[in-house]
Amino acid sequence: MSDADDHRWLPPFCSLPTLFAVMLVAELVALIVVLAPGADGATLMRLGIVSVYLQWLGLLNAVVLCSLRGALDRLTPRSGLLIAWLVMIGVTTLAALLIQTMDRALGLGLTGSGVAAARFVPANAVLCALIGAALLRYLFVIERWRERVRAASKAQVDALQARIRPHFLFNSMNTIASLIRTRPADAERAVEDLSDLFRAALGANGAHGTLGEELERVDHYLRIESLRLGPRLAIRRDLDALPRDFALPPLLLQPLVENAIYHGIEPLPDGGTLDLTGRRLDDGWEIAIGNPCPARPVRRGGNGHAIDNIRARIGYHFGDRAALIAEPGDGRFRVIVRLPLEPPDGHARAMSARAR
Amino acid sequence: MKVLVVDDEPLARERLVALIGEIDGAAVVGQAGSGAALLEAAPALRPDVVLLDIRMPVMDGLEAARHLAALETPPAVVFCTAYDEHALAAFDVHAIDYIVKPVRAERLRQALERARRYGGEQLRRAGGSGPDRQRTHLCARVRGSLVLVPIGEVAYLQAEDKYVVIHHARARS
Repeated sequence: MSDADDHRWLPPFCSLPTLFAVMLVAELVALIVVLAPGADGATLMRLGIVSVYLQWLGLLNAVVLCSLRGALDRLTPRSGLLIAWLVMIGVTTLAALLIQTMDRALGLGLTGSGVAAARFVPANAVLCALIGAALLRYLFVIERWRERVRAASKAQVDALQARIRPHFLFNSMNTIASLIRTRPADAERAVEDLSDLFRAALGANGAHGTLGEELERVDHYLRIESLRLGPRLAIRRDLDALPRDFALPPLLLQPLVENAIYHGIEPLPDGGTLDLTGRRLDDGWEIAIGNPCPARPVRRGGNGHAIDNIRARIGYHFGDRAALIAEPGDGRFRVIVRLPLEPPDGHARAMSARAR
Repeated sequence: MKVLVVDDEPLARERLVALIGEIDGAAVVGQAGSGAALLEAAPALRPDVVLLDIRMPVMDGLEAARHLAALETPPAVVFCTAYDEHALAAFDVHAIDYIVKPVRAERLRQALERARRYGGEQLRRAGGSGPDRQRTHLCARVRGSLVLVPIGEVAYLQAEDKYVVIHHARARS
């Protein structure tokens, strides 16, 4: 979704749901006009004619407003809606005039005769003003509500981003404090690695990155944990098949690796081997993170929370073209991330919107 | 004052040992990398203070502290942890102090000073009680040393005069 889309307040008149609403209202009005007391006979024939006229009027208005949407969106909602309303009245008046002129030329008498004929155009304008105001207001409120739901889910996804366990921060600081005395070069590198991780967690890189950058972040994270856990942490990597320039939001894999250490390897007295593998499938990429783990979970806060977070974010960015699968096994745990072959199109568009 | 340093991370132990080395009147008598190793070493080393990490694999620091209380002269326990989510639990097992990592030299000096003043009496009074957290081991005293029996290996407990005898997979204590 591009940035410009986020700030739209005017309903999209060309979208199917809006067109459906317009047609439904037009048909309701047609029924009222035909059934209203004083109308000359509720014949099916008349309903047909009125329906055709009102549907045409409704769709004409929708098309005009749809093409004006870009210009109207730049105004404030209040003046934008007012102008949209005036445009509707104008279009309806002109259309009514046109129809009446044609009707007279053809001599069909569909627009009434005598007093009724003189009232045809003003009546059209007034009815359009009343119904148009109600319909615009309804569509505007619906659009506001949709906007709010979208903003709420975006905020939720943003909030999921910055989650590095405080334990990890303080343990790393402790490791660095210890290294400064004995191995200053290692301490220096640990500070750099930690900074990179927190830069990503604090959202300084924006919402965009590549798989290569994420794998690098995983390496930085593992380097810090290796200092801390020493020989208890062994790592087996098989990631060469993965495309480094694949567009991927930051911190989609690192938290899963952190989970593997936190719930799996760290609580084991002798540690274990972390398995990172990446391969190409027929229709996408697969990244698997495997680790040994205690028979019963030891750590509070369960494994599910972080995994649900990542799953929600994968869903947000890739829709149902990507998946996260958790495979608890006997003394082992494996999560698999499946990504599509190509990143979503929206990504490139969003990037260019940001560049502007 | 004899100090025993317990942490599963070698670098964390290394730093504490270095800091204690700079404090007058304190000396490190040993290090342990797990709760079980601590309980094995404590009776022989007879430390005055144990600096105890809370988060360790298998047996955490809180449980190890409860078992220490079974010693004839229990040491004072000072908990060290990276993130203070266990502070209340630490008071439940009557720790003398609670410090956060990375430990400041000044703060460590204070903690050791408190331990010098109050000793291990607090821990003894706690008598190994504490909140009903999941135990992983039973602790038995056999001829002055502590023996840990994993709960899973306990066959049954038998009351015998003043004592309770643990019958377990390997033998009885």
